[in-house]
Amino acid sequence: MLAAMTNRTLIIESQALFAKALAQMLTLDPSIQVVGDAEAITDSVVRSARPDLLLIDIDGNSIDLVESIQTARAAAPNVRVCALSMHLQPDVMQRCLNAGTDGFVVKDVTPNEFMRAVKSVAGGETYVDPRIAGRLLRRRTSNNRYPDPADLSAREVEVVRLIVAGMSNKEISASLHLSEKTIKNHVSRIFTKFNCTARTQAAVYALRSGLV
Amino acid sequence: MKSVLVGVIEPQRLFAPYLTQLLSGVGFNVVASLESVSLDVIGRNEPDVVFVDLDFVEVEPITAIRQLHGVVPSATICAYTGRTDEGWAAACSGAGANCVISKSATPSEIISGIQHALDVGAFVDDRLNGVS
Repeated sequence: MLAAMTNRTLIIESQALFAKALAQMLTLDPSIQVVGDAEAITDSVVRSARPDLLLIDIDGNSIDLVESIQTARAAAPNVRVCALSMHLQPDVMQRCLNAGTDGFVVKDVTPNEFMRAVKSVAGGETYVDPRIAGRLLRRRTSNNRYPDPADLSAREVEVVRLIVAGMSNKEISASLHLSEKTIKNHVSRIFTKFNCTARTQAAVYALRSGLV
Repeated sequence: MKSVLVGVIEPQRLFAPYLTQLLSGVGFNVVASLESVSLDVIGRNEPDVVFVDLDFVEVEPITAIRQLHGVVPSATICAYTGRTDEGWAAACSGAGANCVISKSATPSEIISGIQHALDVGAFVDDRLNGVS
């Protein structure tokens, strides 16, 4: 008799408590074998864990998702990747899919739905949260004359929203508890990505592209 | 001995049950498990500790701390945060969080941090102290 196939799953989670929570949920399913957890994807982590599935919590994580997935697939070419996020936003999901993930799960789902999503991705299917899939498809079919907000990082999105609210760099700095220099760097990167040179232009782009 | 009443604010629905399980498992009495900063519920339950995941609350985090502190001034407000930027822990403390715990903390470190805050009145995770 053949042994039942199990999916070796590696959890990438910067929050130690939630890494344990995910492991506890996943191990309830006999088809999933949690082979470890780590705060970031490195070549050595992936090579030693030999995962079939990577489950990555992208929130509060400063990892470069594109680079991380490239690293993972260089070490484990067939690995499936499922991103986990708190953000029920098409832009965030799009960023994940562009980076090469096979699934995108929002953290407000029930444990049962979470397990269904994880098993779908592990089984070779693509899973995206059905609530945002439709919005994404609608956006893709419309002509987008404006810069793609999916190019912005989560922090840049926060900053551009405060620009739209009319805040100065100093005010944004106080609101986000970051230095003014950091805010200036974010604004500069937003300008580059939006191909503009003024805050008003950035605000208009953000509004028209549906970011705000 | 009176059990410690805890209110949990964790918007990540997937993780909230685990957090409750962790706190209950060491004898805390979780009297409210909320996905948002529901001040009326917190005020009604009068918890000794409010454990709030600051990274995902729907209001500005410092405002959330101030509001919670205002509603239950004698409670230990425990800010659970993934932010490590300069001055952040101090800002949380200044707003009324007498316990600030990093999301890098292990489950046992979380419990000992809360207990420390209850025992001596304040706790700031060393990982955050270094940058505040």
